[in-house]
Amino acid sequence: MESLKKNKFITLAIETSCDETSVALVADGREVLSNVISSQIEVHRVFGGVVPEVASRHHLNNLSIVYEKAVREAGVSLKDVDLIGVTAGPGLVGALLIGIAAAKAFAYAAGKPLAGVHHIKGHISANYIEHRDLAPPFPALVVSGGHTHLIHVKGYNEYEILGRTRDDAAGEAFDKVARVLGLGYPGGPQIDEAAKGGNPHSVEFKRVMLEKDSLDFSFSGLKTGVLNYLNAKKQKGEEIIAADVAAAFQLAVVEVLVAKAMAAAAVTGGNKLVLAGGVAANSLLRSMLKKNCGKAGIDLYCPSPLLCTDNAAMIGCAAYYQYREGLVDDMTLDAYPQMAL
Amino acid sequence: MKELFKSMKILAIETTGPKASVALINDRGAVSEETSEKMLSHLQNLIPMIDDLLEKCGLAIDDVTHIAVSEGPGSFTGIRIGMATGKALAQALGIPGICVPTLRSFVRNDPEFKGLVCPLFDARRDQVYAGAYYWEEGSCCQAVKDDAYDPKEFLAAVEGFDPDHKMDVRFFGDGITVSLDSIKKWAVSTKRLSMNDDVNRILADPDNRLQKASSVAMEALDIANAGGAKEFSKMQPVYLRKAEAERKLECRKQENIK
Repeated sequence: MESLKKNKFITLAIETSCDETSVALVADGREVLSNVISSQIEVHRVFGGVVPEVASRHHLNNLSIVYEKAVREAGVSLKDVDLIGVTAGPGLVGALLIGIAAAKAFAYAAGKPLAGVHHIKGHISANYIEHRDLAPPFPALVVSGGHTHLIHVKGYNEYEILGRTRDDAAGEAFDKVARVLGLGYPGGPQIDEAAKGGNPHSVEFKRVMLEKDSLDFSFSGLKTGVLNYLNAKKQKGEEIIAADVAAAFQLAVVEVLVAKAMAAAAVTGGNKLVLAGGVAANSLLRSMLKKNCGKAGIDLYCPSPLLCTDNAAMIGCAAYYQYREGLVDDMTLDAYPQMAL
Repeated sequence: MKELFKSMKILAIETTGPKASVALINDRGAVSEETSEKMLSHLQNLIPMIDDLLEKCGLAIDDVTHIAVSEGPGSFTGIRIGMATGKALAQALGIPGICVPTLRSFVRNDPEFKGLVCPLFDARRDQVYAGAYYWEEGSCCQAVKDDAYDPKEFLAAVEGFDPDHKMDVRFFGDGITVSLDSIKKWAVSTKRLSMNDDVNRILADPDNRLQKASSVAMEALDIANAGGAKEFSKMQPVYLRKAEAERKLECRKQENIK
């Protein structure tokens, strides 16, 4: 078979940090040759959330199949690959280590360099794939099931954390509220959908802004607020309209995210704002940020919904920019469930 | 057609227990082994250990013809590190894989011993993963099937297989520690030992008690010779137990039916 390599720098990337098994091939950092994602959402739905042991077992079963598919779709072989990138953390340790063990084995067998990538760096890098002209510096809002961060991306490998959640991640709050409303799993898309038919001002949940000028977040109070509201309604025997609660809750989360993101953009200067992570697919967050950025004369960058979810292409992009700056790992690479950015 | 005559070199991976090891065996049965000094950092150590072993043998990874993996039971995480690495190596190198039942591999730990080989691993929740094997006319036979057992239940199964004590028994594995009282009581009550006998008579030496890649390699060579090597995609771990959450879910479903 004729190789499609044609002097391109090819990165093979693996992502297994939570419940998505993904393998991608990326050319010159930003061109996706293939990005195969095998989701375990259906597997975990019966449990109402991701079960680490179950996720690890599925990653092991799926990875070699996903790899074959990704390589075939991209039309390259392992010998054409110049770099192997893998999510090294943070995430579920048992899930991470499947990807890392395989990445190391591929790198060792084929004699290729290896780069362990921080998952959040990957989410931010999804924007480099979506927007070929985007380059640092810029502020970024990263929101997912496990993370809520405001980051000043100063260079491809230089990050300053401006703010982070002090308790629950935004996506975590979505999952918990969806569960108590009986909307099912995963919570983010379910709430987004339900909220479309609800009145966001039916209840005014408290927006927790923390100290003046703080770019940190706190969502556990909001979650408790929703629970208390639902309990009070139940005690009074009043009807609960899930769509209204979902809409009111979503608005409370999104208003805080948008206010803090706009503050971060003001602090860092410049005319760019980047959105990333699983919750970046939320339709209200996207539209409100777009409106606010428009008013402030800021260009908003966000990935298409597919690149918002956990995927290996974004890891391949991040690995490429690490490699260019010599940030590679040797064969002792480990899994870092609490990895720092 | 030089490839056709290329002699077998099987790389064996053992990461199911507290200590990881790797071994290389050729078709004449010569084995070389590398064992990790560190406990439980299998993910970090595995490839460097393979690299050291190959270098010691004057070989490169491309010279390996088969990847053998100790398939479990054992530590779930350990099993997956070995299996994910072994599968990916086989896939990348385009060579077949061999899955070796971990409990069965203990028949190779002491070639001199010809009795009932009884490995047992600590499976927590008051259980052990265990099985029993013996040699008969050069073939390894199963006496008690591999499963998760209450230690007393396993010991009763061993006794049930050989009630006339035609064979000596020997216990292996990290399950010895958690089952020691049960083993002692069982041995005395079945008269395999008298009250005053040292229980160590029926236990493997401490330095030969745990999983070894060299044993996995020897077992793998037999499997390969019997045509049991398979494509990487068919390599599967053996946990012998469902995930805790799956077990609980099934319990709840059964209760709902009642």
